[in-house]
Amino acid sequence: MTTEFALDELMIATMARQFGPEVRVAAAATACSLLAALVAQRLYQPHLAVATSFNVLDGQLFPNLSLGEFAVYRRPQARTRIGDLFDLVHAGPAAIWMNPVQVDQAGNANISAIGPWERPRVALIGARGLPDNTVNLAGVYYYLTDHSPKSIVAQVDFICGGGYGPGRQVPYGGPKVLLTNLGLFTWDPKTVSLRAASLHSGVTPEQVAERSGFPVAVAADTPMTPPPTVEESDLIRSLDPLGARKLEFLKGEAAAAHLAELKRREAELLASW
Amino acid sequence: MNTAHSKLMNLDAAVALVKDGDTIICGGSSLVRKPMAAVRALARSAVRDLTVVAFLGGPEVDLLLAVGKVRKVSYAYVGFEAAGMAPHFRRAREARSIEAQEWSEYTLIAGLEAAARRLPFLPTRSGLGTDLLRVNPALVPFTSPIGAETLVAVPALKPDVAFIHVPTAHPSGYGVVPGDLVADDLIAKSAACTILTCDRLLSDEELEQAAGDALLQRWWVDGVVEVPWGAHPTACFPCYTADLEHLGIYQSAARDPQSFPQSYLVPYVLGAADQAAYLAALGGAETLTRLQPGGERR
Repeated sequence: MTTEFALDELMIATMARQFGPEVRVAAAATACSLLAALVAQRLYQPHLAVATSFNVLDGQLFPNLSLGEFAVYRRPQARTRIGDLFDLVHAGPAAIWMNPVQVDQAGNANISAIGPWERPRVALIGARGLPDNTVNLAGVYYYLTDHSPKSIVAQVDFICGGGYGPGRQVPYGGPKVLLTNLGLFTWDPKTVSLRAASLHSGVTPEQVAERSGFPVAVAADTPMTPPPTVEESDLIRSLDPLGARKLEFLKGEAAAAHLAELKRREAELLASW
Repeated sequence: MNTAHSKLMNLDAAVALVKDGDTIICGGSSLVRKPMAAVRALARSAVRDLTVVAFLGGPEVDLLLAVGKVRKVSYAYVGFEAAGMAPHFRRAREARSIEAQEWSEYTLIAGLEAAARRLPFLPTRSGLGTDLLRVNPALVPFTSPIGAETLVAVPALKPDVAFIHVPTAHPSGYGVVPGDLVADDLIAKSAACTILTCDRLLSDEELEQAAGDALLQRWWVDGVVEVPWGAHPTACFPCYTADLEHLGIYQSAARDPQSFPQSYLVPYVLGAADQAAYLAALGGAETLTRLQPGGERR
């Protein structure tokens, strides 16, 4: 590692580089996904429009937890209705980075339940838009900030988002990539397997094997994930003045402390508007 | 001068339109514009065995589960977004104390669209290649009569009563939403009966000025109720943001199901006879300026 950068900057920069020219709109579901879309729009795909979960396209967007529509409707460039977004989903030229609870060898993703769905050991949030995205979108991209055998599993407990298993009938919407704190991975739809496209600086094939719930192919000549450029890192920091992205990389007390700080900063910002 | 007749009613009369066993649906999404004052009134009513349809469900679903009003939840999502999981939804799912029917975002919308158009179903590809089709028998795969592709028939989802909260509304039933309308127009069209609650009523002149944002049309609306802070603790742009602090109190209290009735339900819901009593329990509406842009300067 030659330059200093944080994991969040490496992951967001890598996410930003995945949007191809076929993607016209990036839907932002999380702080990292919003930042990836904004970086891509500024540096790589200037045509890219960014949609938030509040049905606003473009404008002065920045990640936050509690400001909701007050942040996105301050300077919107366009306003959409929910039908516009589903038209976009069905027509296809959209992409989303999202972070499921489980992802498996076939590319299936789960955010619904741990254990059997009928008798969940842990009930999660429900399938949400995953069943829609994975039969429609040009870009279904998954990311996990903690590559572990609990999240990278041989078989998800419940398929919310379809991968490349025998159930796939539709040619659209298959997941393109999985980015974790260890590397960038892609599925081979023919062999229904996952392989490393690149490993982050300092990560070994052994670590990938240890932290994965099934065999992940790591070729001997697997390249290193290019680190974020100075331009990318600076942009990420300036696009996230509150530091909302950091919450996705923290756990336990550190996460609680950052959450409290984030809420305080957001309250100050709201009071200044 | 708008001479349309007034649909004004009080909250208890609006809630009395819901009968035992009815299917209800709420407007908004997650922590946005949930008709919480109406839901608290429903929680205090004698109604039972509700089916709750939730596109993006949040505190409204969780509170109705907490007071035992719910027999079935049909949902694409139930959670508190940045504020975490919905505690009673999670407990009910894990204890299998309710019937759960899982949908995706689009299939739920398609079900409402089918109902609004008086169709038995609408076709989609959503659900193919997923376990939704295994656990939700309402979603039926079929071979398309045009081409031979397998599609999914999404049945009409017709709510009996819809509750929608908006920042401002006209007594005739026009609802003004300057922020995200979410699926509220579709919800109003699909439900047999739609109640609008609003933070503030508009005069005829004010409605004319806000006409561009009057996205809810009065011919879909059956009743209008004025209830200040009616979405609290969820957000109601441009009036106030979601109250993550209060949602935190709710979630902390929910950790102990034995003490939850005394620690939360009595002070804020069951023992607060109306919205004024709820606001008093919060310490008075003046303490909520922290949720508004400009905060203390207002």
